[in-house]
Amino acid sequence: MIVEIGHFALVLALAVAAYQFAVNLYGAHRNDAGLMAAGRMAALTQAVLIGLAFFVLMHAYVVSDFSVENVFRNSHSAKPLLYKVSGVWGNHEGSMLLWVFILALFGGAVALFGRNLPPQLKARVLGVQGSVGLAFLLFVVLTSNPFTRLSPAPIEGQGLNPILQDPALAFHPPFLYSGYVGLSVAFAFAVAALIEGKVDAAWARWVRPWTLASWTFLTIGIAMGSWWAYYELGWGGFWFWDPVENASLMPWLVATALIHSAIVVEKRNALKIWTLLLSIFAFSLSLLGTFLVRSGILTSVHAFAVDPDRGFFILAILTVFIGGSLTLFAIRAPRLKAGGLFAPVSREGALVVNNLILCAAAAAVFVGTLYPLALETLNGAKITVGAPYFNLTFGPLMIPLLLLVPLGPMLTWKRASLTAVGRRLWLVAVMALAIGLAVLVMTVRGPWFAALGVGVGAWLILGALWELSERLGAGRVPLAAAWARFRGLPRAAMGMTLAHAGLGLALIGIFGVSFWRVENIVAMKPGDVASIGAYTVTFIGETPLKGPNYTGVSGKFDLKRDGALVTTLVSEKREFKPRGMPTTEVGLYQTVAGDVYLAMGDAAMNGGRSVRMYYNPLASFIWWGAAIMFLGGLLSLTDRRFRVGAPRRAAAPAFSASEGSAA
Amino acid sequence: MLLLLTFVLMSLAVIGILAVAARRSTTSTARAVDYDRAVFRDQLEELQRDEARGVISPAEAEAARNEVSRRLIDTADRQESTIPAVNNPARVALLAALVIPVIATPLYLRYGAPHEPDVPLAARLDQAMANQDFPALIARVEKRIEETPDDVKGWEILSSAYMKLDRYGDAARAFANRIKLGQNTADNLTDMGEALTLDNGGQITPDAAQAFADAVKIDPKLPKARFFVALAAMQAGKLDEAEQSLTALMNDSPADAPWRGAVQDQLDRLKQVKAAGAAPPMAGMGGMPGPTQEQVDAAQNMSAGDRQAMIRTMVDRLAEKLKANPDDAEGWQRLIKAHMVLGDATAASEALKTARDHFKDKPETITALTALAKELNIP
Repeated sequence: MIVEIGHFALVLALAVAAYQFAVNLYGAHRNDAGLMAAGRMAALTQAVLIGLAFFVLMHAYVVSDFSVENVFRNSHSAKPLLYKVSGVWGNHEGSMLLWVFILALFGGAVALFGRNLPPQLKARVLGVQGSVGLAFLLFVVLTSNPFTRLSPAPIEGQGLNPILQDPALAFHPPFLYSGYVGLSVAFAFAVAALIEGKVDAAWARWVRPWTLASWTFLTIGIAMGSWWAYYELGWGGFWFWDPVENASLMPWLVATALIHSAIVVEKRNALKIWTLLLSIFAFSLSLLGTFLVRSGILTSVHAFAVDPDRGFFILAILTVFIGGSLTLFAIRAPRLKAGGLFAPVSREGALVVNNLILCAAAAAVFVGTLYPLALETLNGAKITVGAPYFNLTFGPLMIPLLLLVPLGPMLTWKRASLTAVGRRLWLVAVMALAIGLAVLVMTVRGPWFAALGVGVGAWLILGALWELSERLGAGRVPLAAAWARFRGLPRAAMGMTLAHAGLGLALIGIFGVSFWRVENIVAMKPGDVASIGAYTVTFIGETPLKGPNYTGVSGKFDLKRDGALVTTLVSEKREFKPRGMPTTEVGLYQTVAGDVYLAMGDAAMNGGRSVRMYYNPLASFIWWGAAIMFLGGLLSLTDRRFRVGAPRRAAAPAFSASEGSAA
Repeated sequence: MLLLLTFVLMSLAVIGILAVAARRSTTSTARAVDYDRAVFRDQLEELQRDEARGVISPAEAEAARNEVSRRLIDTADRQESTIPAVNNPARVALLAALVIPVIATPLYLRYGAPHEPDVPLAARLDQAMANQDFPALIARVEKRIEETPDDVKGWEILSSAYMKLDRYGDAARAFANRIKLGQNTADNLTDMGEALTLDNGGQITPDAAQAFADAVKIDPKLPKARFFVALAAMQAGKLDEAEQSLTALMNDSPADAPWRGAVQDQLDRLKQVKAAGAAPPMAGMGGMPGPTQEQVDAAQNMSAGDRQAMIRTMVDRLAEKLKANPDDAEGWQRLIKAHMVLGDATAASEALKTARDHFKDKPETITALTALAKELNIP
């Protein structure tokens, strides 16, 4: 009965989404407070109903109710509780349910926290959100229903793909989806603005926290996915330019452009039309990502043909939303008032360059991801576009952008002087250059690209810190005053410093691992010694392993440096029960300088074991950098200017002292 | 009934919430411009704060202040929305809310399964006995036996249950455990051998043959074990030995013994094979390689004549399949072998001829067919 209640709640949510769509848009059109109030409540109700359905499915997973086909196919009674829970979104149907749940949560959040939004704008935003929700709920109920039942119920499930049984991956999808789906709010704001024919600085301020939130979630979601690939796949890499990864990178690039262009709209009332277009593009790319990942088209164009219902359904959703919003844009955008003027060398100018480069980079990734698919569809030719393509296109685009990052915040609005900025930044430039050169000298024959990467990373970090210290007046004012300034600093400014510095840190890690990694693949018998980087590895031996739902062997390795024991690393090869699928658990020793990464391979012919060893210099910088960017995003979100209250009473004339912003 | 009531209550709750929200709404006294002004005033304040802290220069602050102020002034000029705010109490909203069940009900009726009860695993296992839930009972015993693998009683239950459910591989393991745990009887050995044989699609494996031999050592009279020993001999191509054993078994069996039919049937087949002058090494209980588990199982419960008939229909089906899809080289070889097993040398040579004609452009296939013909002594 519980399962059916969940199913009914899902269907009811679909009806409420339809209601939310119609009532909000019509209510806003008629300026009818009653309809808009009902529409607002519909957004909340929809979130509650989908939440109910979601937790019912989770309950079915936890109690191993195999009368639910989805549970039968993706769970197993012997699985640890954590993976029973994460198994809910470890499969197509469940992950789509999570997708619509997060979508509804964002809608509910706009309804709940959007008190500072004009009622009509809010109603239109919620109406557009409702339409997205309706489309995807239809998709879930009609083609990907997680509540399909089995009778008689099997006694045991088929298990979750063991490679997905991992803590990082358990929480990676919810974050990534929050990022994807959060962009729907920016999209809804853009469409609402097009309907109203009004976009201005106030609009930018309203839309910004939502964009920022999804950027923040996307950042940490991508980083978690990369971290998972790093230590679970056992190949020592952190990014593979895999279409699934690219599908999340493209919205991230455009969302990054969007949060920057929205600043220009907010501060200078310029770049408005461009920002609307970016909002549409950002969400379109996250829809495209969903399509790529969920339609099965990625496995192969032919897998797509096996289950055409789903693929064509998402394709139809894509066409309606992207086509519809772009058509609306074409009709309405010319009527929007253009914004303020600015010189090429100015903060605005720098942000325009930022936007152009980010969009070009997104386009490069787009082509690299979709071209092979298009080719295969057209003439069946199978080609692979791999790292070399992306290194040649994405890389050269990003380097100039990265060089510009510290300059941007130093430029003044409207018209700036490069000499003035040069005077402020020359010391940072010299320091970064010195660091780069030092690296080049230290690693005499080392690849000069790595030195370039470290130099650029240092430029970003030092530039961000320098900008912060200037704001604090360090050196000019007493320490106590600087501290007071620090405490009074807008959180958004702190957030920017963290995000830019975090980017620099991640960059150093990326270049370090890419150009300095050392690898050693050997067959080892117990007692054998091999060396990797500055370390020596001694194979102690292997013991059989028995986990809750797997068996396998666990190998022990002593890690020594300069003859002294550093740690004992354990790498495991596991074989999971229901599917007999093998996975590798990597032995990882992390230091600031680099990671020792050790993965046991298959048993070798002579009774030994093949062992893959990597030394990944500076690898942890990547994830620390991403974590700091994430923190920067969170900090920005708490900025007080996003909490401007709703105006209470408009009886007073426009310029009276009656402040509405204090709430 | 309870479920229906829950659905009705859920729908009513949703409609109620939406209707109440519509009813209690008040026309906002704030106009759209007021929201814009709130933002612009906040921007002015922010400028003031930044300037006071010295974060931006007075000149920059002044320029920005001018700009924000201009926006603030612009809002005063702006025409308010031409549509007056209305508040049509509830009626429209309520009407729309009634649409919700109209959308939800047909969808649920189409995709829902209101009669399916929840089946959480733990509860199912607890009530397995009361519900006569066979798979759940087995799962319970399996769970217990995982903790106490020396529990012979558990293996007894499992071995017969697995046989009933056609899980022959599991059954063979269960019998092996019983034998290991002290029940080293001729019956168990025979049953284990039978399970292994069924699991292998009717072909007697070396392990199974050993088990039958051991069983006969313990109880030389056990008819089932003797039957399988003879069958093993036949499959090994020792036709004379097989014939002797089967004849002896026939002579020892009472006239009303139920297995006489099966023994006689094997004897007949043996004679046919001998008459055809072939010693097909693959001749088996089922004869045809690759019958499904279901078919093997069905064959077990048939009389000997029926079994032969079933094999014939399977062969005919294969022949028909090949007519439709003659490119299946392996299928042809299977068909030729099957005809020989059934003692039909004429059909076998006919099939061989057809296949040779069809594959005349494929030398490898022709070579394989010739080799097969030689092996099976097909003219």
